[in-house]
Amino acid sequence: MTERHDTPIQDTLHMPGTLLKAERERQGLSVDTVARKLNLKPSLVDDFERNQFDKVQIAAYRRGYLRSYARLLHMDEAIIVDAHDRQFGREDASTPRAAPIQTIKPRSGRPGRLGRIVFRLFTLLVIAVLAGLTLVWWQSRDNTPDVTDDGVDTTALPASESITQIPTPIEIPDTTAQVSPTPEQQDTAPTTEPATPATEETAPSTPEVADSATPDTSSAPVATDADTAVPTLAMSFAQDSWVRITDSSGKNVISGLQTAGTTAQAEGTPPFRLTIGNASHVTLRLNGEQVNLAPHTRSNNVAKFTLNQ
Amino acid sequence: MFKRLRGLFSSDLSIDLGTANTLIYVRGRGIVLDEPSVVAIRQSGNMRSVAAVGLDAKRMLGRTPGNITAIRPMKDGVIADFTVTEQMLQHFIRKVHQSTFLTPSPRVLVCVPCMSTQVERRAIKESAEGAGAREVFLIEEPMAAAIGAGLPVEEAQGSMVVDIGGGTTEIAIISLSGVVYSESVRVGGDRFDEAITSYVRRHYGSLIGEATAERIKEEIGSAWPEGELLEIDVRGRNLAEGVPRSFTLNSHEILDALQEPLMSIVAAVKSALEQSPPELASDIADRGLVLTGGGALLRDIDKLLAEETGLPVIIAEDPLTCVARGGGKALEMIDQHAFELLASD
Repeated sequence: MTERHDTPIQDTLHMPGTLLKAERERQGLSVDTVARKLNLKPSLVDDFERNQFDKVQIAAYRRGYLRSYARLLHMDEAIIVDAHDRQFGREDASTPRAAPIQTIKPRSGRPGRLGRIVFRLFTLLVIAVLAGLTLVWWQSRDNTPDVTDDGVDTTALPASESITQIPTPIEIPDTTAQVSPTPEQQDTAPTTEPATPATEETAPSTPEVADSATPDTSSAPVATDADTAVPTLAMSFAQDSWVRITDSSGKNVISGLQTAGTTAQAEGTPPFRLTIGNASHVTLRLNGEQVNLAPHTRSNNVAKFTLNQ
Repeated sequence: MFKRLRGLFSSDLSIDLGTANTLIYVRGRGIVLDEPSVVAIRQSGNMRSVAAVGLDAKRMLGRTPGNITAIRPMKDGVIADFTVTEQMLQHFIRKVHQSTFLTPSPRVLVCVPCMSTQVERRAIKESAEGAGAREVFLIEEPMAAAIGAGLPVEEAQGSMVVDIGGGTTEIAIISLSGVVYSESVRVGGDRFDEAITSYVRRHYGSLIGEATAERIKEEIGSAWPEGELLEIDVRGRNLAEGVPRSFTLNSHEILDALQEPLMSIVAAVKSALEQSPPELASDIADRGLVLTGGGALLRDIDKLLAEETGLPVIIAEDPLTCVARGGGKALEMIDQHAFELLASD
């Protein structure tokens, strides 16, 4: 932006002002004529021709005047602008100077592109992993064991066990009575209703088989008596055991420590809530039918369940 | 949330949504798209679909069969057909994001004419949002043009910019990052073309198309009688005979044809100078005015304005892209909280 008195003559010849002045003189135009045509002050044109541009601080205007001057003389604008750029550089050419502007360097060549692709793939990978984890969590949430109010883990039981506790006492006696009548049941179970699909599964099994093998069917005949008479619980203890049985009204029908070799009997209205300690050495019968305690017995040998619900 | 994620894969854009051309400046990459604002619509029954956009569609202008219509969705610098503008923008935004595999959702800065109404601005904003923009900023065209031309917009000095676009000519006096006075006339490149078409019809009894008129303007159009006389051979349909005829036009005839729209621009510039505050008028008298936009490429338009106003007139470097480049710089300055540059809705 300053005059370069010490510039070698060769360089001065290639300066924009020198080039313009030479062309103007060749065409026989005066500085005043040029200034009038460009609507610039003659002193400014004179300064330009002496390569002094400090009166025009803003690059956009400076370059604009030079291009207008070149066009007026029918010169190639690019030559003059290039000469100007060689002198001043292009840095201040077209950027507002007041505030620094944050710019992103153009990404050229392979590494930048590759980096961008890697970044995108990584982001997608993170999203995929997050989505996968969410899915796993969601599925595990669905499988969380439900705990009944009496503390028995129903999911830990065999499927048939949990199903057979649900049937109502009315439906089961009808089917058992109809399909496989036994001498014991015939006098108690009325032959009335036809079998329902749900109870047909339990029907073919005989009471003998039920007693020994399948606890679900054994509870079915037990339920048949519940409809007709007051249910009676009978317990025999091979070893000492602490027992508490409450009936539907919440009344304790049996409570306390039972000594080995004793038996206990109780009556009440079902359902019974039972807590039996040392359960593996206790035999429980409901209306004469043995109730299998093993499925209800937890690791500490305590059976806690609701009977005849 | 999803838009933000898509934003990670998108570049910030500055869009000069012009009547004639749409330019897109991508942050960090420069001008990446410069295509005519033309959309070709194919009509099949009640279904309308986009047949072509940009350069391909412009080639169809005036040459389409019955079921295809090539339209320019922008008129006088504002949206004339909302849906088509949205589709055009969507096409352009996707085009500049070709390499990504997610739908882009960039931050977009769109230039609007300074005299556009609130409704027109809102239409532009919603159209850009509809095209997938995550966030839309608006900037007045002369402000963007001034930034693009490298004028000191943030200083306490008056700068005058005349942006001659396709549909409008925007004149503004800018100081301290604000528009002190602005004037907009609905005269631009399109009006030049229309003037040439009507001149040819009047003087040669022949009808020429939009594209031919534009070619005449670009090749021999001139705004000042000095300089060499140029000629062009043109073919048009003779109205009386009904057959195509060839004839020759020269630059003086075109200058004659362009007188009316040129005088409208000169009048608007003079009016802006009359309205400018004295201090700023002094700055402008000292430095002159800067021409940007496609209209600045009309031969000797700077001489015309210099003669008419008595001020130095400069044509900005690469005047066609000034607005888009300026918008791009403004977009970069948004992160520096230079919000005063932006236009309100």
